[in-house]
Amino acid sequence: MNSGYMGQILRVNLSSGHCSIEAIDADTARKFVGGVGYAARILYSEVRPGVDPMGSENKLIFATSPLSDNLVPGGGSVSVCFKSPMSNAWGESRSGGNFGPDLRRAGFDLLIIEGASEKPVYLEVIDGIASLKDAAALFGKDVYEKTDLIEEWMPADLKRKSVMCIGPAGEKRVAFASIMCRDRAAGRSGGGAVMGAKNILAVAVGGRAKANHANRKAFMTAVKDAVTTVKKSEVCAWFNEFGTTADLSGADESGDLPTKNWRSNSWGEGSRLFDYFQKNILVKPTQCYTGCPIGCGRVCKVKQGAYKTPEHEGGEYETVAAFTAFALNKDMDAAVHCGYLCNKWGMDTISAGAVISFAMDCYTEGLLSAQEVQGVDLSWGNTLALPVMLEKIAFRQGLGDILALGVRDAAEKIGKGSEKFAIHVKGLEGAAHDPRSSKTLGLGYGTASRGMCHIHPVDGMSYDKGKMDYGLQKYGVRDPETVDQWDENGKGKDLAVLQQGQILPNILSTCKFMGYAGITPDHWAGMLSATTGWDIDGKELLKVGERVLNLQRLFNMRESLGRKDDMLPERVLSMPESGPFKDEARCTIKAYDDLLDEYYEASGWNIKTGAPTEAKLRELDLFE
Amino acid sequence: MKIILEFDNVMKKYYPQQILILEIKDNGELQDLFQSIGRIKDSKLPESIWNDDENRFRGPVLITSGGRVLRDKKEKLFNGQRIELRRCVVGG
Repeated sequence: MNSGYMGQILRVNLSSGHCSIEAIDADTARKFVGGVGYAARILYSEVRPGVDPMGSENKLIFATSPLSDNLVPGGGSVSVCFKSPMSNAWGESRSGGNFGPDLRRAGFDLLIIEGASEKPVYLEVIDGIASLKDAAALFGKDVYEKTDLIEEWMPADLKRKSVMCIGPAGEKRVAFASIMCRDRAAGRSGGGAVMGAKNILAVAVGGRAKANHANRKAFMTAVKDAVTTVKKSEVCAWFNEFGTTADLSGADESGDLPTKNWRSNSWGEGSRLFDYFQKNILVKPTQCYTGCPIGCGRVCKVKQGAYKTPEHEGGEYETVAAFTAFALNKDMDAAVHCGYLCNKWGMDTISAGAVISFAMDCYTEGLLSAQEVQGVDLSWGNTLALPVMLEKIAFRQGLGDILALGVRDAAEKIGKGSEKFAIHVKGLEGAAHDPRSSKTLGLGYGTASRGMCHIHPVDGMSYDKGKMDYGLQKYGVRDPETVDQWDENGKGKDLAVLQQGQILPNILSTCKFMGYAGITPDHWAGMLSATTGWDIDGKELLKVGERVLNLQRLFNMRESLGRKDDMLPERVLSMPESGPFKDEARCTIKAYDDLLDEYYEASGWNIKTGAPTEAKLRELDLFE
Repeated sequence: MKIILEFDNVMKKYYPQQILILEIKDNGELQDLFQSIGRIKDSKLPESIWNDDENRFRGPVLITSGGRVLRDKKEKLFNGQRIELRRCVVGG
């Protein structure tokens, strides 16, 4: 096996209780590398179309890459891939923390979980030995309690260990339940629900194994170069100084903050909320994994009042936007508290905030009766309703039981035309950036494999507005300084290349913020070559990115998704109903179909169906 | 003393010129520069950029000089120092 890898995959069958070890396949490794790439290859081969995402036939894969190493910028991450209960199609999520490198220290590059257990169990993997353990004592406990207990049960002399677990929301199969690495989350797409359905409550890993580098000296040189690049970057300083929440004021001002369930794209409260956070809630910056050169994390605490909240890592932009602007809540203490509750109960903060604002929209428009909301006042801006509804969702009580399905399926249950208030793509709720002020973002939301997420599409916003090119101009992306954020022309072609480059952190299971801080495909290729011994450059790595995007697309097409599922909700295409951008015609996406045509053509996909062409599949060695 | 102020492409839309030379008191500090930055004639500093109560930039603006981020309001500046204002727009 190539250097760089641990060389082993652990397969755990929960139905039989059998654990087995397989070798990493050298050909698959070279073609798909790791992370969401290698996992896509396995899921496409092993999960047949039409299986129930909550059924025993679905599989859940924790995936790393040869760059899942604490020395590598962003190397603390892990990718989790599965068929998503939100989309009934491709599902993936990335978590920060140290789980990725610790899974490798336990001796494995990937962990495949299949089948379903009759009783609650958790998996412990230490120094190459896997054991399924009874989890009766963990059932019903929150994420912090589970994590504390399992860490206590693991060998005290084991210095490097990590736990990922689900909370009560996962146990109760809330569709957007997350898999938590304490305060870090593999949050989107509902991996926590898949774990809950399989009756596996946690995975604990640790060990002392080390990968061999093909050329250790070259690897260390490439890593040092990458770390220096990141540390020199102003984005690194910016993230460390202000965290992601600083986007609140800028996004609000520039029409990038979805407000009132996407009725508007600006609110006017962003600056005040950011100031309040900095002054009253922020304790200190922190790193999500050991060795991060950025340290964008925020240790937060609400010291007093109705929303008193203990110290935890939180206050992320997406979370606070979802619990403020989405619902018109002006209380930052409450927003941070709600983020904490989501961590504690194991729910994706974006989907949770989105589904509550959807319910507020339905309530205000008379689609939900007083009886249905069980006395909860779901008027816009009612702060008190937020934690109440979160609890109802996490524990599937009353209306919460319907909202726990996510906005698409909840709208189907509620009916009465509520579908138009359900803002999602492929079943995944929209994140907290608004494409009406960035057309590349809009197309990214529509075409991302897992739906309207905050990771893949948002590169479009940073390109359009932030003028970041991620080192991709040499691969065909236009100079962002020449691109007007409001314009639509040419952005289909730009996005096709942006996606091929910006999927690389997910294939490498690294942090995407390193791309903002100057790490390019060439940096990744340099580190990968040195550790694996491959002769791979940025161009070939982009080809890997394209191959993985196409395989994820095939996975989705096989589940009957196609062009119709790449469309944006009408509200997102339309002029904002209120706020400073209300009458601005530029705040619409006028020719979305044309954008999609251009993107498909640039991707080598059939314009009518959105399916990869045979020629493209042959070019990528995916034709079967 | 004179401070040379430069702007990145995102910040340029808030200032009338690409480079500004500001006069602050000799041996001045970063906080003295803030007094001037917030009051440049014809500049348009929205609330999202400028915190008028505390007389300093809000969040997304980085103040850099010589490849280093200036954070301390009491940092001493020197005559002829070039300071760049950069605004990062990234997804969070």
